Amino acid sequence: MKELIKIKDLSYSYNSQNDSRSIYFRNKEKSSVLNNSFALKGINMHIDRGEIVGIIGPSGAGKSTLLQHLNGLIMPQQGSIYIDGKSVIDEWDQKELKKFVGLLFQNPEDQIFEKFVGDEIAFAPLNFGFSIDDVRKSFKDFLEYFGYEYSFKDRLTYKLSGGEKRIVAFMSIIIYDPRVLVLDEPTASLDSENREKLIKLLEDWVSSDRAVVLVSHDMDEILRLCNRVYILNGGRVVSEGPTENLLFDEALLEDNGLDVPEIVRLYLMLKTSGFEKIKKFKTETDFINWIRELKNHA
Amino acid sequence: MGPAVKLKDLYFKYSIHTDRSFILQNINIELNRGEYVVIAGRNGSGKSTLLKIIDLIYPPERGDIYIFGNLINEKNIYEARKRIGLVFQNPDTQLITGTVVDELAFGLENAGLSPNKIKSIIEETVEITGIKSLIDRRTDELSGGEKQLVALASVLAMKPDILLLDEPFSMINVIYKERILKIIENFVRGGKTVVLVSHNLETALNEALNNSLMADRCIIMQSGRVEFDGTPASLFERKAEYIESLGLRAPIAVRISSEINKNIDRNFPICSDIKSLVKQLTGLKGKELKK
Repeated sequence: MKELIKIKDLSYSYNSQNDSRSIYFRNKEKSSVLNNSFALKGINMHIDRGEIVGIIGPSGAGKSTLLQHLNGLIMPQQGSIYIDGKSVIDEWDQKELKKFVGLLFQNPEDQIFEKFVGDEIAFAPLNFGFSIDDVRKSFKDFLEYFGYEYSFKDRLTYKLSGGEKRIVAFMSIIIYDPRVLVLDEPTASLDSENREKLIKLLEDWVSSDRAVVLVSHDMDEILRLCNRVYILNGGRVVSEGPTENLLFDEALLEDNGLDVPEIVRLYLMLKTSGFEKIKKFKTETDFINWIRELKNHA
Repeated sequence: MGPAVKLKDLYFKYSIHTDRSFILQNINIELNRGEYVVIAGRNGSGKSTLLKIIDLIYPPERGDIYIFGNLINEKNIYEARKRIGLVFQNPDTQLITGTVVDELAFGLENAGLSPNKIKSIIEETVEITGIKSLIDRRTDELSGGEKQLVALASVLAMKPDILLLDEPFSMINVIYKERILKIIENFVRGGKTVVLVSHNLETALNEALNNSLMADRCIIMQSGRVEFDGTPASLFERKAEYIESLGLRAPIAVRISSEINKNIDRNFPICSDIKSLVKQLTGLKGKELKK
């Protein structure tokens, strides 16, 4: 079976309470909440084995709500979700599902609850039945990979910087090696070194049996990592396709409140400045090679 | 009256780490009125701590803080705080009320303003930030980007003279980004001071480049010290390698032009924005074709 995740006609509403309106604006026109109460409307989607799929869209489009459906944290109100062929509602054991699909929250503070870094990272794998020796070993490997000393384990989680918290939250999930990684803005507060390390790790990690679902506002990152993207807007899927089609479509991106990737901006500007035949490039390395060719050719 | 902010020989550590080295060391910074300053640096380099020091949340271990020329002491700290607004990195640590409109009203109510005044300031703030559609929403149901925008609006409602923004774009899409940049621009034009902290120099400066609002200065932090303090242009002149050695990513045009300069054409100039890079490349093409 090709599909690891299949979403059918999924809708979700947060049941907003209108009686919680403010004293200053009471008795005014009806709240916009009423019209807006569906966070997700009729979502159909599939994530295949070996894929890194991007979900992009403006703030409030429903991206985070959708992601929280993928490991059973939010159950479908309407429609269905199949993970590895089994329905999340009645065919998955919920603990097994959480082990199968690792979800990284947008805000690491929603996720971190232990006092010490080491305990935070050991929490999930120990609960999933990994031996302490295995956990210790892979913890050391990941610490080394991200350039931390082993003593980082004893740091207080609430004293970490924003970027450090994000790395800890990420390590606490990848350490139990889920089959699907669902990442909500994983690089949002990372400096460029850590960001690069995380991107490389994801590229190596994904294999024919695994998949990554990535939400990001960084379009260059999406362009570089993802095979396919879904554009979400107002709780609906408004567009879907290969990354190199959608992310080179300036009008489509603008319509959906999305940035044009920097590298695409460069490409488009070159195209209208005398380089009509220039090929699409996805990375800076491709671009530098093109310049080298240009120079050698001349 | 002096500069908006002056930090003199400042040292700071969180008291619990008594055995640890300082989080901030030997900080000497002056931020002027009408200046837009980007502070960048690695994760854990002390950027957010520095902002909290400027916001007068933490007292320094050593050193002095001057706000508009006044040395901050126990007596004048409360007045000084009213002139400074900090938007936290994590909006969840800032939003405290049930609905967006209450969030906007909270600071104003506590400042003792009349309900009518509060209402008019809220209406004005909602207009500036473009969050009319959010005002009746519950804060805990907002998306990450919406929360960031509301956190910013609630600080703007207090009309600070010094606006401190900690990673304001981290969860935000391009439309909100443009709004925030517009707000920064108006602030700076009005002679106020804006400090924007970002781990991502590239984004902070690219946004500025694409919107013709360039930061007046970049301050780059390294292990709790000020490693660089100067104009963006003087930073770019030092090429992408230097910027990368500080754990930062240079803007794409600086990166690519540095690479061409290093490996392909030694005479290729370092370009700070895509437009000038394209212009240079067009020149390269013309030159090569003529040969």
